[in-house]
Amino acid sequence: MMTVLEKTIDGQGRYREILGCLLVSILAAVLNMLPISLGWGLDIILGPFVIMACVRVMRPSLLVLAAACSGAVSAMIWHHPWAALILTCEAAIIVGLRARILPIIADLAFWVVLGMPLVLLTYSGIMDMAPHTALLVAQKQAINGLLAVSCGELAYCLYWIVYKPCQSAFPRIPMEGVIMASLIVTCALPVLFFTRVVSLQDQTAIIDRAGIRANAGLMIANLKIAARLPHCQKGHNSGPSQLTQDLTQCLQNVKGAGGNLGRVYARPAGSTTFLPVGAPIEPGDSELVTRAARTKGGGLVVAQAFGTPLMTSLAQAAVGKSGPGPGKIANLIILVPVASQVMLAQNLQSRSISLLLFLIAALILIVSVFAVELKVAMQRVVDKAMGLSRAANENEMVPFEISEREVFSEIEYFSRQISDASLRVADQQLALRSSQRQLENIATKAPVIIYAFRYGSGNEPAPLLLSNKLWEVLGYPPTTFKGLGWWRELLHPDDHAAVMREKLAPSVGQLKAKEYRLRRSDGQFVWFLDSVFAEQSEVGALETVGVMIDVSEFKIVEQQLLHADKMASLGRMAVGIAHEINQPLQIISLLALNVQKGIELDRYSPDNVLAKIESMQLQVQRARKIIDQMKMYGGNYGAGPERVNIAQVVQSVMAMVAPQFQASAISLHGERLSNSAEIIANRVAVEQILLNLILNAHDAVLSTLQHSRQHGVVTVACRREGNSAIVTVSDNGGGVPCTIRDRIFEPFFTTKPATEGTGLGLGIAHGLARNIGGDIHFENVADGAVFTVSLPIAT
Amino acid sequence: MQRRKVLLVDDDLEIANEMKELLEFIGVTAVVENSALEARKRVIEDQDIACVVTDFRMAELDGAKLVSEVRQALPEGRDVRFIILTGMVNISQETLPTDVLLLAKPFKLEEMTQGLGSILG
Repeated sequence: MMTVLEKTIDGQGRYREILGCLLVSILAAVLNMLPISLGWGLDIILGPFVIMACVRVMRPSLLVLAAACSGAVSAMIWHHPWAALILTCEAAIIVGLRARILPIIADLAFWVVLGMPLVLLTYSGIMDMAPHTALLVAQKQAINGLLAVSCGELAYCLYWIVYKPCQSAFPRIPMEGVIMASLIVTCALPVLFFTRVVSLQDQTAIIDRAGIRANAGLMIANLKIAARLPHCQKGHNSGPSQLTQDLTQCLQNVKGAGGNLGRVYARPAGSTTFLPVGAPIEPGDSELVTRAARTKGGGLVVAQAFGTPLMTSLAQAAVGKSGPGPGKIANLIILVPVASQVMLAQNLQSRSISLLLFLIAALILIVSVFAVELKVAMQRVVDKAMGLSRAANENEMVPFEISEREVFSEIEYFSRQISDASLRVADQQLALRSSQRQLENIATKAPVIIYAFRYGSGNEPAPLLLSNKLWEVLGYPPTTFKGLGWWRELLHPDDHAAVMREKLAPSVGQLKAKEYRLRRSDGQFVWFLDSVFAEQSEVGALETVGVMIDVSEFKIVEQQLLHADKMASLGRMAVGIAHEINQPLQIISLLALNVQKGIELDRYSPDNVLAKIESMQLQVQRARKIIDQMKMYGGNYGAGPERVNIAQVVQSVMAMVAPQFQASAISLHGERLSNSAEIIANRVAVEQILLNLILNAHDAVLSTLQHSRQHGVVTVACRREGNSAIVTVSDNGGGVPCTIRDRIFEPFFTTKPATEGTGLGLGIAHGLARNIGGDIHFENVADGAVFTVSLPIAT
Repeated sequence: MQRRKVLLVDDDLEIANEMKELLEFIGVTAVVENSALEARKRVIEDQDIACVVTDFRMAELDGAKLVSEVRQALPEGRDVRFIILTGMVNISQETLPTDVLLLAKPFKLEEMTQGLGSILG
């Protein structure tokens, strides 16, 4: 069995552990069915011995399962579940405390605090056993349990001595445990043996004596009934029912049928019921009679409760004997009560068992109090036996003795600590492995790429973990790249500068996120969002843990959204643009008409015509300029981030929106636009931020001043504040109502009708500003709102 | 009828001048003003002006306001008709004074001759 359990904790553990549990359960169940009788129904059961031998090596849950299984099987023979339940509790408590308390001590504590009260409660309270018998059973159970634990400890110790397994799964057994176990077994075995021999002898003697009395009682009853019978049967010979009636009457009149030896019952021929001869004396008799009738030749009969024989109700114990009766009586049964003799015999059992229990408890207490002294003494005995004391004799004895004692106690203390710790380690290993498995599952199956690096003394960090998901996303076989050079190799050239600007190893406790592109095996680029967290590892090195998410699709949607917003802005400028283009068209049209008419009326010389065509060309250029300006803005973000003069961007945006403001008769002023502050950003993104803010101010002014005589004014101003370039866009459009001030940066939030606004403008401006590392906020002033964009100035 | 003149008002002098040339090709006498305020003065003073063709969007006074102000200032019995030109796409008839012809820039020659014809006869 031990070899089966070997290595259960490591290796292909689980399967072998379950197999071990199964074997232990079966063995314990079989042994439970082969009890050793102590007389009067008191049995020592052997199943727990097997269970307890495995306390130190089996996984706690499996040990309790084995105890429950073996008990459940045996409960069918015991006819009640209580013993099995209590034994399972015992195993659970011992194994639960195994890392802290010696199993023997835990077991003693269990029986005193929980086990014996439970036995009394269930046996006496639920199964109606006489209280003193229940107490006897409780004591026996405690001894049974303690003996099982002791034998288990000895068996484990023996295994350890023979095989010397040097694994954490097989902890060393402390010496006081071995001493306790040996002493308990030494005390218990002779006492139990004695009890068994004496009780069985008593049992035989009592039955024999009662049997003799029963035989005498039967003879007397036979004679008395025979003498009485002729009076009853006079003149009546008709039918069996009449006969039974007569017999009943007759038998009731037979006084003291068995003398004072016992209670007599008779069965008429042809009937199955026994009739009491004389009045029935005890209430439980009918069951005893039925049992006695089944027992060939007679013997000890006891009423049964829950199918448990003998112990349950010894107060009714009797020896029954049956024999043939006179006349029409087919059978006679006599019950000779032996309860008082049985009680006497049980008292002896009770005394020896309680004495033994007391002795064991005392032993455990003494050994645990004097554990160190005992071990020193034992060690010396062993030393002497091995002849090692010779050297000690030559030295001075006294100081050596003291130091030896101290050293020994220290060593013992540490070895105890180590053995306890190894048990705890085994438990924690299980928990650790389970959480490790869960983490591994997350790392390999999550739709993100997880990595961890350690920064040592070398230039390159050492990878601790890098999920293969990365290669799956990028489409390379996992073994394509060696080292960490692949990262720089696959990085998009445009992202190189931006990514490298940041320190490769972030500082401790900092969470950093960056976006960049890596080249896929098919040459396409995948956008990754890479968030990395740095911490000091337990060994002092800097470690980073990061998550990479494929955000390509988000990027595409984001770009589409930005583009949609730009198109919407252009749409919002349509009125101004249309006017601005119609103007040159009108001139061109007039020039063309004049050329036509001039030639028709023959008033134009070629010089006149050429001059008109020259003018047309100029007007075409004028229209084209407007279109160019819009086209530039409408295009995609072609270029990456660059140095951008913020004042220049403000000017170009103002030029773009000027026609719209003219069309709406709103003034647009620029202030301090000679500022030379530069930021690093995508030019189109900055244009989009400003355009959205200015158009927003335009719309606000237009909607509030439409019906008033006040003149709308929007002012755009640049300034520098510390390391930030500030652009303010102020209007006199009445300001943002308090009810919506928390929502204006939300995407798709709009106060305009669905046909006029997408609700994206301010949200997108806000997002773009954040991307550059800036921010947008606004405040209400006397007659309008001021939106302030702050962007970090390039160093 | 020959005495009756058309006043052309536009901020953009090039448009006004080209239009004057065109109108003269088709036999209509035209005078040019590139300031709305000047134009207001002139139409009241010059009895020969029977029609004002004005741009809508102008710096000092927009076309609609020019029309209503001129109408208020005109003496009894003086009839001046108005044509407004605009390059804007969002101007509707309701925002304009009544009895005004609105032409979108760039207009067709026929639209203009028809409009002028009905006014000048």
